[in-house]
Amino acid sequence: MDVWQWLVLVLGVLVLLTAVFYGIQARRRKGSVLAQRSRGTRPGNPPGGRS
Amino acid sequence: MSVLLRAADLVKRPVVTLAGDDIAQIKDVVYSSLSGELAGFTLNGRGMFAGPLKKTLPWANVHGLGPAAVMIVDESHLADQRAFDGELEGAGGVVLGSVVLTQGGRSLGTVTDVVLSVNEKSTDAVGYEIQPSDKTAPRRQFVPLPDALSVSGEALILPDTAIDFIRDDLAGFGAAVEEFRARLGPHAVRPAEVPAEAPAEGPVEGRTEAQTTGEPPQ
Repeated sequence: MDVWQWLVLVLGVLVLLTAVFYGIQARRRKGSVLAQRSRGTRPGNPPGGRS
Repeated sequence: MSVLLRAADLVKRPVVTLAGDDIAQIKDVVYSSLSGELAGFTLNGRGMFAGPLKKTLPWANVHGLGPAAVMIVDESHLADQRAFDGELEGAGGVVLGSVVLTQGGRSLGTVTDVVLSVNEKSTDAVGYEIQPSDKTAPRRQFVPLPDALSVSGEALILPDTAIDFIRDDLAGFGAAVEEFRARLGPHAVRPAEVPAEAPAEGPVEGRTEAQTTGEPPQ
């Protein structure tokens, strides 16, 4: 293969890997609303740095 | 006074220090499945390729909650991930998509969001936004929660009387929650949640959150 063909191949692989990595991270970043099982870590102070 | 807002509206909101550093982004909103009180947030890093952070943000460390950002004093106010570890297993977990059942066994629908009441004393989950099982009902409805919640692994259980207090929009939902809890009994209402002389809705003094009060459903 010529050099330009190798370059296109390498660039294509890089783009593909980037897309796969981005997709994986996007799934990991997906947020939700969660219910805790217990109130063990429930904060007792109001927010605002007044504690 | 308190402000009602949807928990999912907080997801992806940036976490900014008072120095102006944008250090994280809200990933999950975490509340107690027993008391309904907001516990805090799990976090994502900033940037396109950043993943979840190992640090969390307890609600007690939040300096201010605004429509554009969640403010904290500085990065030291983030807590270790262990603050939430072990609490999300078993009963509880992801609420969105869970089925809401009455104690009489009637299915009200599936949860699409959780309504939070933000006031000076505390921030609590006071209702669910549901997609009703009844196809003839509006696309979105709001169901009030009792003070003591009941959450199983798969279904969220509410008293039968909750049906009488279902609303189609957030306007007036705060009053419906108060009436619902009052009907359940005096022990079902925490004093901090229902101020004796304060209306249930309106701007919260000292806060900048100004959204979703009275907002119609999408």
